[in-house]
Amino acid sequence: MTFSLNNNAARLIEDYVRPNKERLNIDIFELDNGTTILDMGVFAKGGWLAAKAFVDIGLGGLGELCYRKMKAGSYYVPALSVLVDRPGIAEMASHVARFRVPYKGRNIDISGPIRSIKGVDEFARAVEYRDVEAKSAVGCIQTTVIPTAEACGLIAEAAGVTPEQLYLVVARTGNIVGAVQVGARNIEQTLPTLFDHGFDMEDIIQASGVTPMISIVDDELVAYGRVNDSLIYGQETNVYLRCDDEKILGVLDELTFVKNRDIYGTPFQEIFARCDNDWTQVPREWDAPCKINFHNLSSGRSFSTGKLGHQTLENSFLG
Amino acid sequence: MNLYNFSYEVFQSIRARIPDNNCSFIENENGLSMVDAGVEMPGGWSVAKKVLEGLSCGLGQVNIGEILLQDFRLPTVELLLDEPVRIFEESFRGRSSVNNLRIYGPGSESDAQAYSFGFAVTGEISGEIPAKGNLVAAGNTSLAAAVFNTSLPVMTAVEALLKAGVPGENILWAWSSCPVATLTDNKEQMTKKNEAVRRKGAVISLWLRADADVLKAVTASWEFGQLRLHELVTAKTYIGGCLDEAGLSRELL
Repeated sequence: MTFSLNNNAARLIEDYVRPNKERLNIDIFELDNGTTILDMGVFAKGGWLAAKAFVDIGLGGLGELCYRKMKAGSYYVPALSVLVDRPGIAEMASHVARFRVPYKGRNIDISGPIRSIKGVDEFARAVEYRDVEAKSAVGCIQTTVIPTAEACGLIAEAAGVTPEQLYLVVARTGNIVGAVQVGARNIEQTLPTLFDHGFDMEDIIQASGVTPMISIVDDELVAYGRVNDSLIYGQETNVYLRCDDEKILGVLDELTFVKNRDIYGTPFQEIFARCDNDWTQVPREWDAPCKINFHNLSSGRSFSTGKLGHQTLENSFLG
Repeated sequence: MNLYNFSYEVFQSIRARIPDNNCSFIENENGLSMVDAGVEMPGGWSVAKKVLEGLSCGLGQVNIGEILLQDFRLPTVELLLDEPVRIFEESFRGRSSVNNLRIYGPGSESDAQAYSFGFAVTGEISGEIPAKGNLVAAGNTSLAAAVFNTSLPVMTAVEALLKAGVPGENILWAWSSCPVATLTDNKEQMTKKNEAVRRKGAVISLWLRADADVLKAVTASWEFGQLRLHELVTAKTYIGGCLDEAGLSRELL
């Protein structure tokens, strides 16, 4: 393979994002150690255009976010439609936020093409692809703070690059860019679930996903809750794969959020509070997609599991 | 790239696609470059979309979506605006009418009297329009005019909030969806259809910071489709008006 997710992302930054930073309402600057920070929504205002760029960067040039429209409850809302080529690589080796770097007692969770350089986490290692041609490393962080030079140095070292080679794209959840980029993690949420249930990521040929965008709010915890509501109660992913039908049928009841009958319908903000607002304490089965449609190229059959929780979506929309 | 340059480039991109986009071009001795996008020429979707891109000055995105009315799947225009107040002030607040012709659009950076991208709904394509700069003109029965019409509800909402005293910097982002009225050659019918989509078919969301009392007042008197004001600090949504798909169907189909 001769393509480079990181070079694709860096090109998007240098050819489009940087020349249009005023139009995108973002800030770009270098730290003392040479790391380039793209503030798309920590202090910067951001917007729809910046949010799309954040997602497209995170997909490493293998996919894009398109804005559409759908209903959440009885209300039309913007919808976040994600299309990816090479879904196993785009999501598992890039988009998934699984690269964890310990810093001052907490973990910095990083997504983006940077993960594909060394295959730094188990999801990145679910595919063979490694970005051996990367001239720079591009990471994305959902955060309320601008990473320090020290933190960036640790991230660069863990990824196997120099700080000067590093780009970090950052935004709060309590901002339009945060609301969009997290909501756009529809396929990103689905593929690791399938991986956990024994699906080979190389067998997934195509994928698309859509999520209703139900809320943007200032408060980080409320924003966190509502954007996750949009995923567990609202996202629908189409997966086109080759396998035996029995493999799909055998796990249909185990995959989607509706399986969590004791908490289904509860807003995620409340669920998260039960876990002390700490992702490491959220049971893996609670981070489950809302709805998955399987289309088996081998058999020509389709299967669906999960359902949209329109009442919970509407409650989050109304606030 | 500043917004005037962006809008100017949009005008040039329209001009570059003539005649493929079913438009024509006129230049008069007053320095007005004019594209006929729906007066004597039919125009089409590409120029209609570019009208809104030019008027939004690159500060957002214009998409074509759809709505199902009875058995008809009809196009809608979805606007995602990063600077709704700036777009309103540059392009929609409007300068004084030129010979009763309302021209929308941002001015020119170098000449306050000229348009880097102007748009007008007019029944005549004439070299006598006393304006300068770049103008796209379309008749009221044209697709370009119908598409332009879909932008008016969200801009009306911005205007209402500003008039209610909400500071412009507190109105952050906007999203709207409005059906494109079904076309007819009858000017009177077309005017009614365009009004119907604004009043019964528009859905507008604005994200902002403002007092609840102000938002309740604005939504209470809302007449253009369904308005949703999402208050960022309290995380509450205030809703005014309604989507009337049944009524819209009767008016359009």
